[in-house]
Amino acid sequence: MEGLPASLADRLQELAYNERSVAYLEIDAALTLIGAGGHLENYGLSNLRLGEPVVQQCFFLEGLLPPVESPFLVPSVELDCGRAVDLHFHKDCTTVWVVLFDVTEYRDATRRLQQKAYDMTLLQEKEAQLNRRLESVNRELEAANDFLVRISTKLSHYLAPQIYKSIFSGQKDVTIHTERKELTIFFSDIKDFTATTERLQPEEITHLLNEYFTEMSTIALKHGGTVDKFIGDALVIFFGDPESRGTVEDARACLNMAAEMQSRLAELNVKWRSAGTEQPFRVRMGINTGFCNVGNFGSANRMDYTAIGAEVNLAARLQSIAEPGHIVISFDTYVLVREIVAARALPKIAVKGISREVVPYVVEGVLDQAGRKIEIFSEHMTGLDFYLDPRAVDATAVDRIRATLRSAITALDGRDAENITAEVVPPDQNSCSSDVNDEAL
Amino acid sequence: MTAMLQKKICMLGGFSVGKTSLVKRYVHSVFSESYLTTVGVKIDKKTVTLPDRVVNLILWDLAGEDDLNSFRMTNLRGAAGYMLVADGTRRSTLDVALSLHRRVEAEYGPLPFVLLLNKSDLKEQWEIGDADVAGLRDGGILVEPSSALTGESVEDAFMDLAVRTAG
Repeated sequence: MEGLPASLADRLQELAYNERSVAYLEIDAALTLIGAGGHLENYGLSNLRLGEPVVQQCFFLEGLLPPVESPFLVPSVELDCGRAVDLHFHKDCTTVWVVLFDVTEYRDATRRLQQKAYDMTLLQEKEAQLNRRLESVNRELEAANDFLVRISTKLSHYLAPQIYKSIFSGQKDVTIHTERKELTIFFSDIKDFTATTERLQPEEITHLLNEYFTEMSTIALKHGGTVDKFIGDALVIFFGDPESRGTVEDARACLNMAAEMQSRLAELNVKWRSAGTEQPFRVRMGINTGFCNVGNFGSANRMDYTAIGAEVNLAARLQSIAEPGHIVISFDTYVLVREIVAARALPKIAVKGISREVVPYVVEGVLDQAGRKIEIFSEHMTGLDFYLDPRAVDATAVDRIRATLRSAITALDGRDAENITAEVVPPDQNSCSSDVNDEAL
Repeated sequence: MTAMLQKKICMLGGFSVGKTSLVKRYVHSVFSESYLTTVGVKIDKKTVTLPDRVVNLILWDLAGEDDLNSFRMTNLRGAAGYMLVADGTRRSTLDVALSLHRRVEAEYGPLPFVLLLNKSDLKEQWEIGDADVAGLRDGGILVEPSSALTGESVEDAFMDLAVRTAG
């Protein structure tokens, strides 16, 4: 304290000694406590025994004695009594002095600051951790979503596109639920499919059938039909659910679809014949319009979206009475489509489950937008490959076609004149016509 | 009076890994959910009865190392062993613990220690996996999952240090 005014030196002494509760321990070379003084009670050290080992009485000194350097400080040590002290070690000759300075207030202030800083850091760590977890959950969700998209895409091939769309957009619940709706139902069947394909290998039949169904389904979809099911070589399509443009438009769309199917089939037969299929596919079609139950039928575990009812059966029945290559519709459908078809009534039929008289109509032609009958001529048999769509023919080729047809007729007439016995082929076995082309030819 | 065998054991690890809680659980058999940071060092004593002797473990609960407080290596002076503590829910604390271990070993040579992966009661939030633990054990480190909340491994780990330091 040299150089300080006396009163200041006294004040400093008082500050250090009283306000920092200074206490001291005096320890000899054998680590025996030989002296102690100051504010020992402040540190719970009132009952020290001089002449005994110091570390047994002040366990906080364990490992620190004798100090390897002097002076030496261990700052902010919290003792059993709860006070925080700076431990100052000081050595002279053989004596070690330990001076205790109370730093509890300083420790508490530091703790408040440190606590805030740590809490903040922990929060930041937590945030970063949550973000990482969120990102990983997002990645998992994306993967799960991709998986679902892949699965649903696969599933979509087993469902009519409209059904798939209405289920996956949430418009329709996948529950056992049906409703009564006015539908136009379409049935088609390939005449003598088994006999027609008996000489083909199973792989060829599969290929042929798949191509046929793909082509027909594409046309159905184009006209807004819901492909209900494939039964062997038969095809069931309805209009009016889950999407409907109104009963009249639904029925017209169905008729246009059927006409386009027959037309496309004529083209396909040319292709298949040139690929080696001897007998053409000839398809009967039946169409009826009436109230049906449509929706999910079955059990909670396995259900089918379909339509049932006597009107559905009637469509099947109309198909069965149609000549191959022809479309037969019920009166109920006819009244809806009469403006776009030319049709002729057939004898009445009785159908189980339908009390009214059923008058079938055979479609003789579908009219185009200008009201003209759409005609396609198609004949395929031994010695003949014939397909003619007059609308599709190039104008410059018309005269040549006309000349060819005349020559053909002349040749046929000549053959009759020579009285050659013809191999008679029943007319409904090998001819394939679309719309009313049987009549036209 | 017969001098009792005393061993200084230091608690080392990053902040908020549970060093103080482990000591409280071991010495006072209590656990508190609230977090109170340690400033400097808190010294506790625990008397352990071994088969052939009684030993006082003098536990130096050191403030966790961080940006605010650089670690005072001199606090390890006179230590017979140490408990390395990491928080299983914070991967970075394992790196802190292992770094402290390397620095202590460089300064004081090999001392008995146990690595506790603390907060095993929050296992679902852990960022340290079984593969990490296996890797540490392959490296010859004694690793135990621990919990100051449930008391898992606490008694055993300190007893292990007592045996190895007093032996």
